[in-house]
Amino acid sequence: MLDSTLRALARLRSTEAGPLSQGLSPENATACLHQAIRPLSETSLTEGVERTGRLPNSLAIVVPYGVFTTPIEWTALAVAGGTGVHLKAPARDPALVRTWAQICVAEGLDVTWSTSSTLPSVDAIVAFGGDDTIDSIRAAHPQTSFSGYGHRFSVAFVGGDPQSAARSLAADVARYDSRGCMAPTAVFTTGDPHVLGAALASAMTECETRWPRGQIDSALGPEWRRRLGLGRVSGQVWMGSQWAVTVSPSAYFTPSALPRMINIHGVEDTTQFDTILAPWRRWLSTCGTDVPEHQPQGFHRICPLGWMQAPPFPRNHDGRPMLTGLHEA
Amino acid sequence: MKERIRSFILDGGDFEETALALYRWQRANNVEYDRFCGDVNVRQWMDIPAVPSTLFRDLSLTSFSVADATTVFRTSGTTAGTRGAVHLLDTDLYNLSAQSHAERCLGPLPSTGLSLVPMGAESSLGHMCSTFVPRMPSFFSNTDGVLVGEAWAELMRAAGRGEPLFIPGTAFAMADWMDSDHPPVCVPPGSIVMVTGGFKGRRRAVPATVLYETIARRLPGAQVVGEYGMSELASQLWSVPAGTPFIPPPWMRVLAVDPWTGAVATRGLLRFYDLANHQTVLAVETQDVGVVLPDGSVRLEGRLEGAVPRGCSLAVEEANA
Repeated sequence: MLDSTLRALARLRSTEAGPLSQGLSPENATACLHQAIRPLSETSLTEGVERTGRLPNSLAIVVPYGVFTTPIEWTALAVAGGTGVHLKAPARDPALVRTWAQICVAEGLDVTWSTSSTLPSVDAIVAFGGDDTIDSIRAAHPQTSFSGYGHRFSVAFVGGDPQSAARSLAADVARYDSRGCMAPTAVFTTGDPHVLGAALASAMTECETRWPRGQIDSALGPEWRRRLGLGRVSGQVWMGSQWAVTVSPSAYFTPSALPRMINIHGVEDTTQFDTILAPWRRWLSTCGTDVPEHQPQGFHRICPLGWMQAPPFPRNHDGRPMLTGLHEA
Repeated sequence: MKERIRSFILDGGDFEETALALYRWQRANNVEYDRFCGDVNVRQWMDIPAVPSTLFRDLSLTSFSVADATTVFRTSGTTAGTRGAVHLLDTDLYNLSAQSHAERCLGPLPSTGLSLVPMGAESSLGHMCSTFVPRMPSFFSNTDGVLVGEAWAELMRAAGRGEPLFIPGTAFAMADWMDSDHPPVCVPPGSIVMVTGGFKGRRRAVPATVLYETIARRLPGAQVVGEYGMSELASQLWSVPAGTPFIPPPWMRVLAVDPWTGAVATRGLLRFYDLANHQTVLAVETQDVGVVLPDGSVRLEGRLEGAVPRGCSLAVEEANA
């Protein structure tokens, strides 16, 4: 199964990514797809299967809309370990799931897919999405081993050189157009936020050229303008045609990412950073930081800047080893 | 500037000229709004930067020292849990605007009635209704909802006196009230039932046309009208009879814009340019969607649909809750 899985991943990597990406630009989609597949090697998949231990015979993965590469690593780990996989695709755009499933089948792997919310009889379910969605799926399958991953958010912390931090951060913001729980919703800095803002503005311009922004959900417009307004009134704003950087007081921190917008908040020290995020602890995912000795509380992953959207494989996802324990119905 | 607005409300005037003058005055007197506008080039009223209504959760946006405010209206916070605040130095223009346009649309207002809206001190809706009919008894409790039996009993008593009644209520309060099996009560000629708001965040929703028909059937003789207003706006729009397009006052203009780009559109997010918003900001961008008709009236279509999920990230509405 491992060889078939690796062949399937190679075929998927060579596929045109834009149409699969749920609205990213072709350049960004390709970068995201390659980044998602890169850690999935013979070595890492073997390690992942060994680390996971006993796998269920059959698994359904409920795939969310937004981050198109989400099912790839989970499917790869499962099928490499001999588990049959059913992918429940997001109805509004199932392109990646359809293509990925077709490739897997062509390589002899046991993968099916559907947009129907009625799942086939399986030993285990892994579901991504909003907390309400997770709860309803869990309730509908009380006898099935279940692992749910609800909404989370991530932030970055900059304590060092703003120029080098900006280049890495801009890449974290550009990937997936700030979609997904690993995208930085805000940057906290103990340095001068205006210096960091200027550096980020320059880096965002470079990213815009290299990985243009994709389609925008127009419903985000009012919130986009609210945050620009807060920046203008209380701090500073830099804007390109496809991005924005704001500086505003940490009182205005909002833990929801907007496409290619980054909000910078100055903090006195790491203690203040921890205090600001304490009320949000149950939703924390990843902290990207350039201060390795800073180990903030509550995050499931702490990584260098530039790696926020490129998690390692295999890993603990939201604090749990991927697919572990799912054989226990 | 206040006298100029008062004069416009009472006697009319050139909207473009007055709006641009008020914009310049607010930029000079409202530090937050001045910073919000930045270096924008305003040549006509449609160019005036509109403040998202959600910014009232974060900023005071007053054209005076907020410490001098005598009145605070809290926003309903229907989508996000956080409530905004609108600070006013006085309610002179608010009252004048509300009363003038209501009488323009409805005729002379009844001098008595009963209320099914929250009448708390920080409710702009309650303030408006109290302005129309002072000391009107309220049968809406923030903890218990509509006091159904008491409201019907009061209606019977009031109707028996033979004077026209003003009966304002939120849509969900009216729906709850109409749910009871109390027999219809014929109300005196000239009575007005005002329905405002929608069912966002409520456990049930009743189609507007069904609600209006039900009210007309249960309260024969009443004129059922719709009202559209919000704490961030000093003026209201009226739909007479309920279900027809909402009519803004002459001192207000409405634009529909593309929700993302802000470009003017036939149908879109609604922006209001209200000269009576003298003490805060005259241009407010709501989260409501509608169509602005050629005569300037507005066909409301409801709230802007929430943003689609963005993977496993926290959604804007969740983050703001």
